[in-house]
Amino acid sequence: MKGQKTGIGVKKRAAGRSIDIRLLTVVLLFIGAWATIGYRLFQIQVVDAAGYREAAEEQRVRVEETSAARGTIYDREHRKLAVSIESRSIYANPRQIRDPVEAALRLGGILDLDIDRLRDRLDSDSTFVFVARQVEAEQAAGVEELDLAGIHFLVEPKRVYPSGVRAAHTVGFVDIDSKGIEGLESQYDELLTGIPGRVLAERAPGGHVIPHGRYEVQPAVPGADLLTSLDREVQFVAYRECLETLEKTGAKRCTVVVLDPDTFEVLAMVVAPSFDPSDRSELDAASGILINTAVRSVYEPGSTQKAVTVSAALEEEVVDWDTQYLVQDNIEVVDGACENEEVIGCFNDFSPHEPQLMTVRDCVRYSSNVCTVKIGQDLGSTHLAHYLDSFGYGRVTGIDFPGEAQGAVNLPNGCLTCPASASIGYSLSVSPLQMAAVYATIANGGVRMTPRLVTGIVDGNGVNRLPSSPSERILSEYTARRVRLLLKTVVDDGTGTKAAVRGYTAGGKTGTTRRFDQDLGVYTDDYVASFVGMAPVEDPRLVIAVVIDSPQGDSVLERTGGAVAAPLFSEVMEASLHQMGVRPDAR
Amino acid sequence: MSAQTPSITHLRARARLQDQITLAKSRLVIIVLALVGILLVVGLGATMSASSVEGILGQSDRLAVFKRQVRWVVVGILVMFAVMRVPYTWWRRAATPLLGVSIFGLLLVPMFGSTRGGAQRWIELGAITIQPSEFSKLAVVVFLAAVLTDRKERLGELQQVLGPILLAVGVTCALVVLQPDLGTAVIIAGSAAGLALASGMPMRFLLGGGAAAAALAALSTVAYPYRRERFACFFDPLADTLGSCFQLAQSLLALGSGGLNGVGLGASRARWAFLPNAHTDFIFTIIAEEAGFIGAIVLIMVLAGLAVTGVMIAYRTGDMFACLLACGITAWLSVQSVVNVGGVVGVIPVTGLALPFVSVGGSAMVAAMAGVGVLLNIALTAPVASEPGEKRADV
Repeated sequence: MKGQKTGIGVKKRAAGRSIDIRLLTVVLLFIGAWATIGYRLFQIQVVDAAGYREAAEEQRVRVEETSAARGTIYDREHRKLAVSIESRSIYANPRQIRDPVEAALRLGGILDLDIDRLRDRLDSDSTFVFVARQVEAEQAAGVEELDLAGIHFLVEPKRVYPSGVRAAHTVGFVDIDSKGIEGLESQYDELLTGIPGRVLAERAPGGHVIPHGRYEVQPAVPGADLLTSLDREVQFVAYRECLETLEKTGAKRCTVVVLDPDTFEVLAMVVAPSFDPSDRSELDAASGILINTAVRSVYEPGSTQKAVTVSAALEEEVVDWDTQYLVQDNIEVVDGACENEEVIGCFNDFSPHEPQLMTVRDCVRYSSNVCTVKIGQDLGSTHLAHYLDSFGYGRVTGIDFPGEAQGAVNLPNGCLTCPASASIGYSLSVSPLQMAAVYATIANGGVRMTPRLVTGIVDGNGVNRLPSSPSERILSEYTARRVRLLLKTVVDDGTGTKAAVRGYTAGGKTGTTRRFDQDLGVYTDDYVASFVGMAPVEDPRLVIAVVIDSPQGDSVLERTGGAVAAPLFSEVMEASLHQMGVRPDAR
Repeated sequence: MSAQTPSITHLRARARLQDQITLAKSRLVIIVLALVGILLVVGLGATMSASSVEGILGQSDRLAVFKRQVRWVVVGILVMFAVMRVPYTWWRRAATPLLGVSIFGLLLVPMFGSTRGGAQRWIELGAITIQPSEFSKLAVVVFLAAVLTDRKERLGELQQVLGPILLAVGVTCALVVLQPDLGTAVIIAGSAAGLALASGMPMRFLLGGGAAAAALAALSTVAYPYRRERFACFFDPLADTLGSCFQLAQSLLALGSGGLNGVGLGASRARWAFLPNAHTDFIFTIIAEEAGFIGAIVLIMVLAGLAVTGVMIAYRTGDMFACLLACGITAWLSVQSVVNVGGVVGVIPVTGLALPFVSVGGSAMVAAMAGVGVLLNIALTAPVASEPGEKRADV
């Protein structure tokens, strides 16, 4: 075994040495390989580390927005009109769904969805499709029970409207992502939305937050709450009465505006027919049902305008309320117009009568067109135009509501018929809100303000009451009071007796005009019946404008403002005054 | 020098020499055990970190993989000590049957094997899964060591060495490549080359064989599109961080994120589903990300130290079979480590191999620990060459 000293031993010695060299080579090869790897590691981890680190961080760090809670909209008594709640939405990862047909059948059954369309979506190649958003709690629970692979839930805010259909046009509504798109929801969207928060986090590809990684939270600033001047009870009464009137008269639409004349705050703004603001899926937007006609649509005010003509004449002392006019049942503005039975240039009273002497009071009480045209002629078109402008005709009121219509005044120089038309409420157009503001000015002792819906904003700093708008005197206190007394005679024993309010003195004016079709540019056979008034007369607490579009009936008498709109005024006024605790001032 | 009656001093001197040899032997054994122990501990730690995320994301037991691997480590340690007690000479007698069993095992794979990730490499036996190719590495090394020792006088004759090499390496590699598992074939060929190099075979054979193996590897790379892509990634890993290069790209991003000092143990970001196979093929990345360049270099030094110690064991013995076997086992473990880590850091193309002692995997762990057992037995029992000229005799 050892100690062999033969020739073979010498050979072995040489072979042994060769093997030693080979073994050394093996060791050196491995050391060389590890050294190369070590050098490369040095490059990656020390020399170029920053670049890799940045790239790695970039793929981990994700910034996500967290939505801020949307503010609540309250009425004047802090009752909720619009509020956000948490709801669940159902989404699918189609790649995780094994059997789209079965999934669609089972989901569609619970969620009441179109099975074929749902199946197509579940069969798509994407990783995220909504199945149904903001579903009812029972539906979500039902889907959860199915325990289908690839079906997931997420919590989303859902806007609900406790006042529902009854204030839909005024409160407005949001889209599926809680972005305000109509009404106050749209007007104050930015305030209501708040400021979304930010979560910066290191996340795994699936979204899981990596512990100990960067995690920076910038909390969302919740949206502000709105305190509105609306009174839910008044709103509800007005809506209920509107529905009743629509049913009774077969009218197309009923619009009511209730203003507090002391502040020009809107207590109610009702449009009927209405819609459910939280589910508009079945609605045909083209039908115009979404339009808040109180603010956005205009009509020819007709006789309700006479209060303005008479106010101006009294204020300018052109007439006194005892001034007498000899009134025939028609009057020509263009020579020969009445004889030739022309439409333009001849103004008729509502019904034929013998020529008679009428005081200015009687003109208003019986709503004589001829008499009012005469007063208008005495006032002169310059003065008329001035007062129309002062009362805000042809201009938006400036209410905090989107898309307000401004209306129009048509008094070009040289037009003979226009001033006469304008003095009795034709050849100009107003919105129901504008008309309510005109009467509120008279009710407020001749001082005009800007109508408004939102009176305060509640944010993190507390309640912020908005200042009331600057006021502007249009009429003297004296004139305003006298006009109110004239309007009272209309209700007491004039054309508006049906507007009488039990227990309270009331004043107002009826209006009945041919409905002008904006699209066709012609007068139709339909009417617009209106009543604008106030109560109590000595110190009005409320002004209500009622506009009924296209009431139906066998005779014209059943379709007038006095017949259709005045009763609605009476009901709403009485209920609202009671609601507000106003002391009755009449027997 | 009276050889007949050894004097007390002589006996004392001999005893002292014997003590020194024993001491030296046990020193090598302790070094091997220490290095392997470090690798096992590091591996389990990295496994705990890398695999826990799967449990968190999947809402299952976050320690499931770790617990399984602890069991495999225990089994591996038992196997190592058991194999350590088997006289290494037994392996020489068992070489041919062992190769036969290995090839038989590989032949079973296409028939009964289970497929994962597009490759058929595993045979399922009840609760455990065996990867026969892991044990083929040991079988091939043992067979070559035995055959080359048998024919040590005629290593210069091509027909004497070509047959056994073709039989052992060629057939085994062919079966493995068909699975397909090019990586394991590379390891087998690499350990065979290391062993052959040490055997004193003429360099022209080695170079020729190397060239042939390289050509075959290139051919099989070109034949499979996914290998072509991986090969292309090797040159420009960050060109496509999400596509076919994402493994390597994510590995580099993680390594760079680790920097000099690392992101901290248990704080790896790459394991959060960015880096695939984080606890198997890319476990080195997780370690280097968490422990930084410093930790990575320490780990590399441990791996290189194991290579040096293994070759030292081969160098010390006077028995040629022991020498070749020790060298072959060392080459196997080291080539696999180099190919794994080299792939992970982008020095060579990614092949999808486990890092011995560190990566999660049962068969690989048991096979590697068995290899260490053989190595330890050689270190303890193989005769030591008392002087250089007497080395590597066939005893």
